Amino acid sequence: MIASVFSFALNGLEGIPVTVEADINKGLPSYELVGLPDAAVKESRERVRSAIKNSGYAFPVHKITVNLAPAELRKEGTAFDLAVALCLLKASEQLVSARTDGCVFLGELGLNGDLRPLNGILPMLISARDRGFTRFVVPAANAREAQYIAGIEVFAANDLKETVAHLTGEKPLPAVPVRVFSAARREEGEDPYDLKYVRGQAVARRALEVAVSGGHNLLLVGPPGTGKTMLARAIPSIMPDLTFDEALEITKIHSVAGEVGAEGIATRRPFRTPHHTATTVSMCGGGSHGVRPGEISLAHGGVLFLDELPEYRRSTLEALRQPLEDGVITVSRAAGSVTYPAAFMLCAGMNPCPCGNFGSATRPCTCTPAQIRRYRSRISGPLLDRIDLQVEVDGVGYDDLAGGREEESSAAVRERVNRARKIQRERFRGLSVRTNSGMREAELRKFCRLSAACDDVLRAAFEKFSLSARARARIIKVARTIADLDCSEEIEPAHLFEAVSYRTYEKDGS
Amino acid sequence: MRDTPQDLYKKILGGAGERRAAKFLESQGCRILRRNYKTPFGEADIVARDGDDIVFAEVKTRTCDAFDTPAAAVDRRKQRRYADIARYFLSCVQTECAVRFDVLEVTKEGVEWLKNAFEC
Repeated sequence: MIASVFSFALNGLEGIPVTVEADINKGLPSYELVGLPDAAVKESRERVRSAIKNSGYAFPVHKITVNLAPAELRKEGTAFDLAVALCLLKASEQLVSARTDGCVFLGELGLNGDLRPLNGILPMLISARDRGFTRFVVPAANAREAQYIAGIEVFAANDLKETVAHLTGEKPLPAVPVRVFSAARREEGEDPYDLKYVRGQAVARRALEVAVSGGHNLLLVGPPGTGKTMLARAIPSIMPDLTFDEALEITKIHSVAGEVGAEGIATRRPFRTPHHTATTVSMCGGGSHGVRPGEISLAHGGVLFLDELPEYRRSTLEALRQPLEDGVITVSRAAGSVTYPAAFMLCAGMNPCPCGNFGSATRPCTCTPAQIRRYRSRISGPLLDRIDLQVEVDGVGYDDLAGGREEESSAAVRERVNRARKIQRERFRGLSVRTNSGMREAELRKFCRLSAACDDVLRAAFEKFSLSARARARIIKVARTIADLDCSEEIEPAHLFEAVSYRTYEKDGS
Repeated sequence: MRDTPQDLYKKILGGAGERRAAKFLESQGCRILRRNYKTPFGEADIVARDGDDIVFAEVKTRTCDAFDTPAAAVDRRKQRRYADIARYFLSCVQTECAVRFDVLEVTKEGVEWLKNAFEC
C-alpha cells in the first residue's frame, strides 16, 4: 500500500514543498528513509514509531520505505515527523476515512505523540500560500505565528491523535482565527532607556533623531562615560512604528532563527547588540547546521549596535561593508547559498583614542599621535565612508547633570521620527525602497534635485574634505532626511550644511 | 562446542527451553514449521506461522535472573544472522509474505513472548 502527504522544507526564507511518500510491502520488516535526510530527519524513525504506538495505533511490521521528494534536496530538521507518521498510518490503512489531500502537515513529534513547536513556521506558511496551498496543520505552540496570514486555513493540533481526529472528521479542529496587525505600540511599561534621561548632548540627540528617521548609519565618538552607550540604548524608544509588511519580513527571519516572541509577530523593531567577540559567521550568517541568519539579518528593519567598534575583529567589520551597501547578504556554502535580507541601521560607539580623552575639552589625552593613528586605523576608511553621521560626544558640565530640568522625552522625538517616516513612505510608494538611506541612483535623481545654491555648498564641501562619490550621495540622502524632518519639500542649503557637518570626524583628527 | 560437563548442561537446558517455547507457541495458536532450522548462515531455533506472518523465533533460556534479561543477549550480530536466515527461508519456499522476528524468554516463571523484537 502506498500513500503520500505534503510537508514543507525551508531553504533560507524560501519554503519548498516536500511530498512525503510511504510504501509498505510484505517482506523482512525494515524501515528505510530516503531523500537526502540529515541526522535529525533520520532520527524521526524512532520518534514516529513511539508516537504512533503511544497514540494507540499500530506501527506496521513490514518492509517500509519512506521517501521525501524532491529527493535531490537536502532535508533538515524535524518538521517532517507529523507528515511521516500520517503517511505511515495512511499506508497501513489505519486512516481510511481521513482527508489529507491538499493539506500541509508540519510538526515535530514527541515520543508520546505530542506535537512540538518548530522554527521557521511563518516563512513556510507564506511560501506555501504563494504556491496555492490553503490548508495546514501545525503544532499548537506555533499557532500564534500563523494567525497573521490571511487567505489560508491553519489548524493547530496538540498531538497526533488530535490531528487524526480532525482529519477523519471525528472531532474537527477550529481554524486559527486571523488577527489584524495593529501598528500601535503596546505599552510595556516605561522604557528603562529614555532620551529624557540623557542630559545635554544636543548635537548627538539631533544626530540620533536624523539617523533613525532616515535609517542612516551613525557613529558616536567620545571619551568613556559621556553617554554614548546610553544614547544608543535609547534608540529603540524612538524607533518608528512597524508597518505590517515590515513586521512580517522581520518575523520571517526571526522565525528561522527560533526567536519569535510571545506575540507571534515582531511588534518592535529589532535592536541587536552583539558583543565585540562576535565571529564573522555569527554576524553575517552561516553555521555548521544549515545556514542560520546572522546578527545583521536579525537586525533587519532595526538597529545593529556595535559598542566599542575598534575592539571588533577587523575581518568581521569588513564583512559588513557589502551588506551595508546592498541591504542583503548572500551566504554561500558548499551545501548551497542562501540570501537573507540585511537592511539594518548601523549604530556604533567608540573612543577617539586608547586613553579615551582625545578631543575632550576638560580631560587631557595621554596618547602619542602614533597610538591614536594606530587606534583609529582599526576602523577602515571604506567602513567609515559608509557611516553617514559621525558625531563627537563630549563630557557634560556638572550643572547640566545635576539640574532638575527634564530633557525632551523619547515619545516626543518618536512623533517627529514617525512623521518623517510617513513622508518617506508616501514618497517611495510602489518602490522597493523604504527609507531615504535605501535610495539608489535612480531615486536619488528623482527625489533629491539640488538647487544651484545647494550645489555650491556641496561642491565646496566635496573639495574641502576631498569626499568620495559615495560620501557625496550619502550626504544628499542625509540632507533629504533632514529636510523631511523639517517638512520641507526641497532640500535647502541649511539641510546640506547640517548633513556635511556630520561627516567631518573622519576628515579632521586622524 | 567442546563436551565439557558445563557445555552439556547448556545444551540440555537450551533444548528443554526450546521445547517449552515451541509448546507455548502452539498453545497460542501458532503452527510450528521448523525446529532448529539449519541454513548456511546459521540456525534459527523456531520457524512458525502466526496468522499471516512467518515468525522466526530465538529462544533464550535462563535459570536465574542475576544478569541481564535473556532478550538482551540477542545482539546486533545475532539479529543480522536471523535476517539472513529469513531471506534464505523465503528464497527456498518462493513466497512473499510478512515476516516477524520474535524472542522467547524461557525462565522458571514461564515463557515471555516478545513479538517483533527486532527488525533488519
